[in-house]
Amino acid sequence: MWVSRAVRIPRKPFVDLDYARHMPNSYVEREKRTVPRKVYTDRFGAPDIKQYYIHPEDYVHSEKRPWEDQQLTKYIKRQDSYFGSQISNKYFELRRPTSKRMKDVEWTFFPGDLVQVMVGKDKGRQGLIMSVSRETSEVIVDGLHTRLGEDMENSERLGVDKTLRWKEQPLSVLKNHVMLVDPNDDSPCTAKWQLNAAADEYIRVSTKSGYEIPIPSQAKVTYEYLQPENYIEVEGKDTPADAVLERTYHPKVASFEQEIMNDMGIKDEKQPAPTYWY
Amino acid sequence: MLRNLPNLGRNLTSLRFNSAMQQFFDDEANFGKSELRPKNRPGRSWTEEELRLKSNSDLHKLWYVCLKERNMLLTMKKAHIAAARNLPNPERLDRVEETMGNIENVVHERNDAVYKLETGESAKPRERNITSFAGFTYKKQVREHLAPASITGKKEYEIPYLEDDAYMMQKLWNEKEFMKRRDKLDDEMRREKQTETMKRYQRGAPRVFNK
Repeated sequence: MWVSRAVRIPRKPFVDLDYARHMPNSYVEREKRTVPRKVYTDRFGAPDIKQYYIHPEDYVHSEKRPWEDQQLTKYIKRQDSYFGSQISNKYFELRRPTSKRMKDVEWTFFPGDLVQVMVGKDKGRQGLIMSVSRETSEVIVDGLHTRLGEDMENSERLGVDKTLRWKEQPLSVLKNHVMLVDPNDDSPCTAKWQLNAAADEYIRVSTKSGYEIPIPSQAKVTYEYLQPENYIEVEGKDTPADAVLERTYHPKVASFEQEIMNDMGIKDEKQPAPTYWY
Repeated sequence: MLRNLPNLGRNLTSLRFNSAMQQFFDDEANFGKSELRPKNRPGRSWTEEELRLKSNSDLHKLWYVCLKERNMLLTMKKAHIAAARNLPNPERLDRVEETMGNIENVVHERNDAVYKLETGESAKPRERNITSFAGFTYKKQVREHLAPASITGKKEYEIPYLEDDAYMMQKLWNEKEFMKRRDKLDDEMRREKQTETMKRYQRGAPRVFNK
């Protein structure tokens, strides 16, 4: 028997890496408010009518996550003006922002990367990426490209003194405002994904010198863990990793219900009355 | 009246409920928190690949574990709404529901395979083309009935030639949908033609120089 060498397509881990990768999609959509407020279904063949909090085509991505502070007030404001126009039957101009998301194979920036700022008052300075926003193709570099801003808007109205802080502004990757630093000569460079020598994983390689730029450990950090190996399993809620990967399935020619009945010793000799499906 | 219950490893000062009722509530360490501590934060949902490894009885048990967790989270959500507070880590609910949805999908996959092998038909309920009174012809899932269609008279069919009202309804509906599509294309074309300078000078001179 010929033992065929399985054509292994190396995994592209950079496709999945994200701080919020384990956040369920339904949660993210609900926080973005692009979920239906009410759906009129069963309209005798006519398509469903969906009333949204914020219309999906109206949603503008930001460098902040939808559940971060000050996003909520923005969303509620937009939601209220949309709803107001709906109930008074007025024309509402949807923003229809064009997508600025780059393809996964073209994206080479991760949190923890050393990059050089190419614009602004910090031009030429190097710093580490604090966070990455894939939807807007922007990165925030620690301590660079900052603007003096207030902690709380209109705080004088409330009688509180203004607390000023240097707030980092996002840098666009599409416009090349920020570039990766070549480990060879500490100069700005572009990177591309290439299969490594052993052809089992994709690595980032500088186009200028060909040196590998390793993915920093901060890139693998998520809301749940700093390193996947050091995740703290919650007793009583989490199934241990080895128990999850244990295979207990043995296929049988019996439906799920029948198999459970056999396992539990439930005997059902009743003959159900004939039913009609139409 | 405090009941004298055996210490089940729980906080002795909180024996207001018996252990069965206590399962509807979260661990007392999580009360009053805006965000749970990492050691109390449950992890991500089960993926379909992981669930496919498990036997049917394991999935059956996992379903009820998830159901109890969902009940607990929903109870806590209601309690927080009543107290006008934010539930810490609301994504826990979405994760449990995602797991339960994945379990349903895997069980359906397995049943589908067995049904197709044994009967030749899928485990999914059959779909039929029917025409409603409004003239729309669409696919509808069959439902189970106790009596045959000849007795109930409730079976719907596909009608190739519509009645007057249904015919008129379809004509007007298609006209409206056509106009919607045409207007959408017109709007897109108008938006593409409008340049950045046109938007800036829309109401006369710009308010800011050298922007």
